[in-house]
Amino acid sequence: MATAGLRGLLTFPTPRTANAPRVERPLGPPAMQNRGAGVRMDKIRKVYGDIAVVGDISLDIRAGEFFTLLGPSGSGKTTLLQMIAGFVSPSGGEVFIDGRSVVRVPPQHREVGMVFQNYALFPHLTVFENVAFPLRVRRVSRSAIRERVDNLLRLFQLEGLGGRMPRQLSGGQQQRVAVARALVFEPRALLMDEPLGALDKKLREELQLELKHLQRRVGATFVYVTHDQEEALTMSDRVAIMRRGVIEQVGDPREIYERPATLFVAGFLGETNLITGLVKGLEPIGGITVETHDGGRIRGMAPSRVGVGESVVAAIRPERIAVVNDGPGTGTVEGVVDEAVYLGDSIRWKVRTAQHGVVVVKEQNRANQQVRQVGEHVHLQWLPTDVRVFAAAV
Amino acid sequence: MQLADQPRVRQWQLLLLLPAGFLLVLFIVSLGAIANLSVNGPQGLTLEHYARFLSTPVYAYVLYKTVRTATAVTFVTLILAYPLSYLMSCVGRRTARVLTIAVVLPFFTSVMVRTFAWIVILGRRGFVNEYLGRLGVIDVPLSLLYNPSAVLLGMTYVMLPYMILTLHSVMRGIDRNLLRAAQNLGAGSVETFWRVVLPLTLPGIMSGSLLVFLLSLGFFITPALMGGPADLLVATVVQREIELTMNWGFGCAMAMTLLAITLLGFVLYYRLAGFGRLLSAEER
Repeated sequence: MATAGLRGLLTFPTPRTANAPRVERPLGPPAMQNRGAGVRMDKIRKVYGDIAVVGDISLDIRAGEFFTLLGPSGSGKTTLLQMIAGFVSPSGGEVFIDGRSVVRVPPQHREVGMVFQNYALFPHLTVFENVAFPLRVRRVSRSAIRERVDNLLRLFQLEGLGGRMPRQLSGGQQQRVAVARALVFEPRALLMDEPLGALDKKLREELQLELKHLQRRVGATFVYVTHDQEEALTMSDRVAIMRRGVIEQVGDPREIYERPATLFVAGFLGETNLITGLVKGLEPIGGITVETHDGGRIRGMAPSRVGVGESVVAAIRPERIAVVNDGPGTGTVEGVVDEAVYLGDSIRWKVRTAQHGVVVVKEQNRANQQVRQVGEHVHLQWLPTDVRVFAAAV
Repeated sequence: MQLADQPRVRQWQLLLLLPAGFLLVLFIVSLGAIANLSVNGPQGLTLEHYARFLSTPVYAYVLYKTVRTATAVTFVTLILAYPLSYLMSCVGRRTARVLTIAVVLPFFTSVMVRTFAWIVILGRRGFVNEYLGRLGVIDVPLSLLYNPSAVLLGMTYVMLPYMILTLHSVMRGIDRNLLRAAQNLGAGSVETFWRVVLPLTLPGIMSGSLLVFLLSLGFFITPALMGGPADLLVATVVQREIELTMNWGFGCAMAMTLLAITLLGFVLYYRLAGFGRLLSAEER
């Protein structure tokens, strides 16, 4: 961290980087029609001492998409973002922006905007001066700066706040200034490092949609870092789930939620019943039969190859389980209601079963929703296609 | 519980008055005595000492030279201290600690000893002349001491830590992300410095400069030891007036004038330092 700071502060451009051409593009009309740039990473790696913070990640972020790096803290997502921005130089591998390798291009010549978690607004400059900063350093004329910045402030509902100092703004306003400042020079990609992390829940939800709409309008590629799965699912075109410096799965929100590729993804996103057991038999097209430790049988789908006799975990989403009254049929499991939690829009039951332990069920609170009593006998039903089977983590 | 404790705490707090009493006697009373002496003539109250000090060209010149020297010392100190402080705020925590210790180290010896060290180095038969002579660069020893440059050098050396520590405390408070943001937004190193680093360190520059300037105004030992007969500064003259010519009234008037300038500076200093503290507090 400290050495990175030193490098950032003290290195003056070496002759090689100084000659790297700045991507000169005329400033377009204030409507900000902008084709995003694709960002591609090829076996990129960052090692500190013996620890690989980012390990050989290859990722292709398409031009103009809203791409989210999602993962718990320490998963390497921020480091990955900083390697795209140029604040951290990779230990190996390449980063391409618009097909051009940028590993040797210093941050100020990469032409990607960045919104920092704490916004990093310049405390000595007014809101207007903050947003004008990228244009000032690009020697844009005074009148053009005024026009562009005023337009942007209007777009971000910051009209009349141009003369304020950043500390006089609310958190949400500061966040908008930071985004406006990162977009004013029309970067082809906008990087965001948990930009909503410091805001309260209600404001955060509001701004999530705002950012999504903004991205559609601007057309730039957004690369978004968060540890909040809801945020990732709400905004993203595609999500990469990271863990310990590697990517576990890349896909659109529905894909990663409904068809998690790994046990980690299944457990990290939303709520999941995890039932351990051994593989009993294999069926065609990835079908699998699992015998649970309590003697029950579960049929499900395995996203990656598992062998007979291998110990596995079967994952079922609570909302994919139906509670039915009677009639032992195929795939029904008997149980007793252990706990009922009323959540307003839904009801959660904990059902104790003989073969699978305690299973959590979530049902929408519909008009004709049957209310179960604790201790009531019920049957649970689910489809084999809703069960994902993963090799148990060693 | 708290109520029962209160009287005891109050009694204990009375002890704190002791040092306050010391201060009162040592500083206020003695200062009063000096002020009293400066306005007392044979025929009662008089401002003749002040008039003489400020209207006699030689003394006015000494005052001017004192202010000029303090200004020069401040300037040179700032130029030297700024890059080092910047470096200290950029490097890792351990390196920064080593550098801080190195900066503070001179405080462990007296100014007198450090000034004599310079005399040993720069003297007629000092290290510098010795080696230059041996290398055949010079035939006659250079007179490196007892001139204005020697005073400037010696004073800058003594003042440097004050400036570095003041600047460093301000620079350390700057959010690294601000510099990254500047870079990300298209500013190179030079532009980042002018547009972000310098404005944000301005409070430190102001308060550090004032501190050094004020300390330099009344500085005695180094200019007295390293300066020549032509390099008299106010503090030295005050000492001579009182110790050699026993002209208490005149010496005290000079001291009071210097004090007035210093106080004026301190008012400015607190305004600016207060401003600096305000700024950094609001950032956090």
